[in-house]
Amino acid sequence: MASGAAPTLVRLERVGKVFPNGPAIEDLSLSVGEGEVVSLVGPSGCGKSTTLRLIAGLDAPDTGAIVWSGGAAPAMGFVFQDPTLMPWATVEANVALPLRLRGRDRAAMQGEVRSALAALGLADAGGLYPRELSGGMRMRASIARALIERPRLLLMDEPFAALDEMTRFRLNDDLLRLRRDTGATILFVTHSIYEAAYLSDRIVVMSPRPGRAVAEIAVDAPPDREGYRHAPAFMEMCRAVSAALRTAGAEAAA
Amino acid sequence: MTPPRALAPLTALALALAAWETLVRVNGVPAYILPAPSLVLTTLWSDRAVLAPSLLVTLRTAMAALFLATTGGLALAILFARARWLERALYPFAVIMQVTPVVAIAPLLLIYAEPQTAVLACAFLVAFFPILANASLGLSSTDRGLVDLFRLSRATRMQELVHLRLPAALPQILAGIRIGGGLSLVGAVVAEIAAGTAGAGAGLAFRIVEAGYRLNIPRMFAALVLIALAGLVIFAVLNWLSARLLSPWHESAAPRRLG
Repeated sequence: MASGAAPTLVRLERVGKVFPNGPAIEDLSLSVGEGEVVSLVGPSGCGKSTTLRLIAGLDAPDTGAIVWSGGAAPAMGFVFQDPTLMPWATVEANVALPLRLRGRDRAAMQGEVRSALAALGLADAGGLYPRELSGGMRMRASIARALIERPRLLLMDEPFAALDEMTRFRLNDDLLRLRRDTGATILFVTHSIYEAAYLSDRIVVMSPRPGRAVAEIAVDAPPDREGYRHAPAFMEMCRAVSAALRTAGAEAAA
Repeated sequence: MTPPRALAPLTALALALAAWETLVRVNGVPAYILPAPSLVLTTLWSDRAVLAPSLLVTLRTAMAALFLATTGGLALAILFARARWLERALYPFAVIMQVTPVVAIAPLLLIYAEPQTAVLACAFLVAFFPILANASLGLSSTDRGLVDLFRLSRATRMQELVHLRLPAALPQILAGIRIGGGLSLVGAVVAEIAAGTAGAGAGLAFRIVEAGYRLNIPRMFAALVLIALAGLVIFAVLNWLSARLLSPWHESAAPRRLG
């Protein structure tokens, strides 16, 4: 699977991963270009999250290879399905965690933490504990933490799945704005066809388990997606993704 | 407006004491059978020269045992979390120590150790297991997502322990210490009875046995009241400490929820 015009940041070459209960992904090939937003969509259990974990280095592939431009994996941020905040630490301490683990001086990182919080609309919430936040604010804090080290690649594993529709829309817009501001490459796992169509430059459709990339759909939408949700092109894109998913399911069942 | 939380138990206690006092006075029950609460109170004051030093001895033993059980239990739990083979090798022995009644162990320890050391060892043995078990549970129950996050940040094992596993396990560790606090007193009392140490090293349990031999029943009750009060104070202090450490963030102690 090619990634269009952008220079490739990472390429998965026929990657496979087997768990004790069977293969999760098999012969998965895909690439992500610099500055792209790529969504992985597919049925539950098709290996989308496993793919992110392999790219993050949290698991190792059993077959195939993950090839990085420049040879080594760049700085990465990971946003999990749950906010995974430390409940005993304030929002500020949670966001500062990656810097703290690198041994950065507390005073020196104050500015970076404050600007990360401000970028996610949490400027006044730094002193609160996670339990004092709404679900949307917790996820914003999780994204701020993932962005604090200015990663070249942001991996997001169904980050908005547990949120209500309005919060999800707001966070989708925030993510697009952050992408414009930071230029980060984003690999985004979602169950939502609408979310994938709204956020992505490219959508990779995966087959049912064991997951493979069976279709790739380029999203032809302006970078500023103001009003795109209500455009006929958006609905057309959702229909195309939906049809690709149905085809993938039918082929797997045949 | 709701009444203070302490009102209900205090009222129940006052009613029970009043009933007890009335029963003794109306029936003319002699003090060597059942002393009235007022006599127990008087004895607490009149025998303070004997009871106060003994209370200090028992408290000192219980607190020393709790300190040793906390540091030992926590250290072993950290080792267990680091090396599962060590847990598999040693945990059965910790269980054996726990399920063997301390009253059966005490006479054996008294053969090999000085009475005060043996009493301390018994109190330690009783308090140690709940702290070890709770700390082990807490250290091995860390949120997998947070562990992944630390791995992504290439945290060292020490950073993972200090910044993640220990704070995440704090509620369970404190629960273990709260249980161990009460048990350390129980262990000290049981071992003191077995040791039967007289003189300056005599704890409250010995005073109970001694008073029983002399049919000084009011003093037996007075010593028992002091043990119960000591247990209550240990429980209250550990509860307060736990609430202080957990209140900003943990559901068990947090005052309110927003959003």
